[in-house]
Amino acid sequence: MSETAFLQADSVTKAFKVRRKGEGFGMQTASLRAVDDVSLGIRQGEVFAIVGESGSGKTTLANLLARVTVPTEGRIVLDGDEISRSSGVDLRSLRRQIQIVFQDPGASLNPRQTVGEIIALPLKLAGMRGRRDRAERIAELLEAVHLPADFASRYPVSLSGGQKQRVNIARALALEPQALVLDEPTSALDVSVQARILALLMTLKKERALTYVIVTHNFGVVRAVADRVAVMYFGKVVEVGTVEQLMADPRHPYTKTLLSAIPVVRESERALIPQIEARDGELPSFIDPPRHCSFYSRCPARQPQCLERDHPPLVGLSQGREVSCHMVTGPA
Amino acid sequence: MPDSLSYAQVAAQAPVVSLNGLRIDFRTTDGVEQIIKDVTLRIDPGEIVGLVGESGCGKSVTAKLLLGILPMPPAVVKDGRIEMFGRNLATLSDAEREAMKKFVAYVPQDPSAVLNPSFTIASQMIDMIVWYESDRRLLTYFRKRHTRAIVARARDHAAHLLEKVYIADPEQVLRRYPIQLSGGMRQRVLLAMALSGSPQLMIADEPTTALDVTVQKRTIELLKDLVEREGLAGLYITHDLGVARDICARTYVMYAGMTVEDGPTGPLLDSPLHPYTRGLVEAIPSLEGGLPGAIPGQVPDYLAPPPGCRFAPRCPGASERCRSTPPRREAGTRRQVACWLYDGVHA
Repeated sequence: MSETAFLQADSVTKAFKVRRKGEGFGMQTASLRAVDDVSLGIRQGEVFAIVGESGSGKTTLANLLARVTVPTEGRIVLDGDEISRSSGVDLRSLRRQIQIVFQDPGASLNPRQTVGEIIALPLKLAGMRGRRDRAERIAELLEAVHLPADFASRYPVSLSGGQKQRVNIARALALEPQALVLDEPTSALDVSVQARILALLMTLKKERALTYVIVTHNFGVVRAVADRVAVMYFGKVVEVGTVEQLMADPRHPYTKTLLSAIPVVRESERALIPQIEARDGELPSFIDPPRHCSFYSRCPARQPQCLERDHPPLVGLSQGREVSCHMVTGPA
Repeated sequence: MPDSLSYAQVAAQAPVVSLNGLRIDFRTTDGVEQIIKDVTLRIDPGEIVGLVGESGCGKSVTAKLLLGILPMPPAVVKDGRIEMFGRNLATLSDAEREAMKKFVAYVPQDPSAVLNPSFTIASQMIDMIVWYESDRRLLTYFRKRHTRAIVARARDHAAHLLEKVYIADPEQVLRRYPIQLSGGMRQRVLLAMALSGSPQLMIADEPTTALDVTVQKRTIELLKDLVEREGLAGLYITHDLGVARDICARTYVMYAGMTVEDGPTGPLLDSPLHPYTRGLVEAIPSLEGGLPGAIPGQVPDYLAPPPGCRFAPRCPGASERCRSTPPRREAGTRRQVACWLYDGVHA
């Protein structure tokens, strides 16, 4: 973990209570660890991507980083202040520092409010009283996301997917935050629209010196915009590195599996992904997680001794890389 | 009722599907929407053909037409020739068209939306099998669905179909409810269900978009293998060009109701000819890095589409002649493109 981390997760765990059939009558509660002991450091001004398949805990981690949910254990630190349990006035002022753009551009806009009203809400909550000031600010924000000013009076239903996502971004930027958490910002969009949203995000980042945390399952998007990546599997981070490192030399067998499954569009890209034979296997149970490495059931490089040892810790390698695999880091 | 044998025999020689200059309008309360302007598409026996394009360009309308479930009205076929299994649909009676549905299988996009959560896999598969056995007649179906021997036989057949999609323990899966299966498993069940008729053609509408990449890869391999083993032809609809490259021998690119380019998938994606195909490929973030290029503008309004080439308003190479519809031209090995840029020149 570097000293200069701007947004830091410190042994963060998020457990959900689930009910399941107990013995005999009645229900038993069990705990499901969606994010399990994750530590990450995100530097100011970088684009940090979190990748993994569905159910890996990446969205839960994004929600924790943006203080949408509260961790069960551990801390989230933003610019030196612990934010993980902030509430009330603290939470309100925190919203001037970090904002989130949710996954589904349509579902995150109130269909009964105009675009203007949607963007005005954070301004009102932050104490911007003058109607005219707000209108001016809304016009500025719409311009920043390349939407015409008259969109302020339109309703979300009349917007296309890409336009809705622009409104979401405008709302997130309303309070001039330093950091944005973007949860699958383009996965619901067509490729040509995706390309434009990515270009917009990168322009905004440059203009406003933003820090981005992008959650995605699309490696093309990661390659296009991210500086560093964390790969998640089963609630844990299994590998961290720069995009170049990860693409050129993936170390964790899961990263390799993930990369090798990318359907490439251009023949020239095929040489850039590892060719490995993936192993079919079921995901372990979240409620009774195994003690050994959680990737064991699907690992193409597994060895008998992996079963006898605990889940491998995330170990730092050279050049800021971190990997959690016994076969890479060797005996402890 | 025409017998199945004659279709099978015809299908062995003629294209399974041949659409030529298809035009379909939709009558809506706002006016006439000219959704499909010019779709030309051919699927030969044994090949999987891709149909790619962005949302709202008419991919699903084309699929529904082939499945015989396009509601008419509001849809009206204005022009063009539709041939399936060597027969011209316009000359067939309703009963004949209904009978033809048996030969077309469908794999839908979202497995969890299609499977009924309240019934076991066995019950839903038996429904399908008995339905086809009853020649899709409701009364026959009800009678058979309540005959113990027929249901038992259908259950055995269901287990057999699950084995075809490499489900190791079919009995176990048959007893389950959809929620008890993973996404990849549900998609396999749907693949098996698609085989319950006697399909010659399998239409798959983005069957892997809801799946993770690793599961997607497995499902694609399975689908390819299945089409080959069963001797089917396939139409694979997707907006993911990478997936098309993995599965489709040939691919048609569709824009705003027009098939603008087609050819063997690899060469088509590596050296696209039509400006739209080029834009589409460039819009995909490359693993080599760099921000993807974007296509300016948006899909036209179907109530008043631009005359001639519908891509012209967004096209960097547009000129005056694009106001009239470009002809489809041969352009290289087994490739065709509908664009004035390639008119009269050999690419």
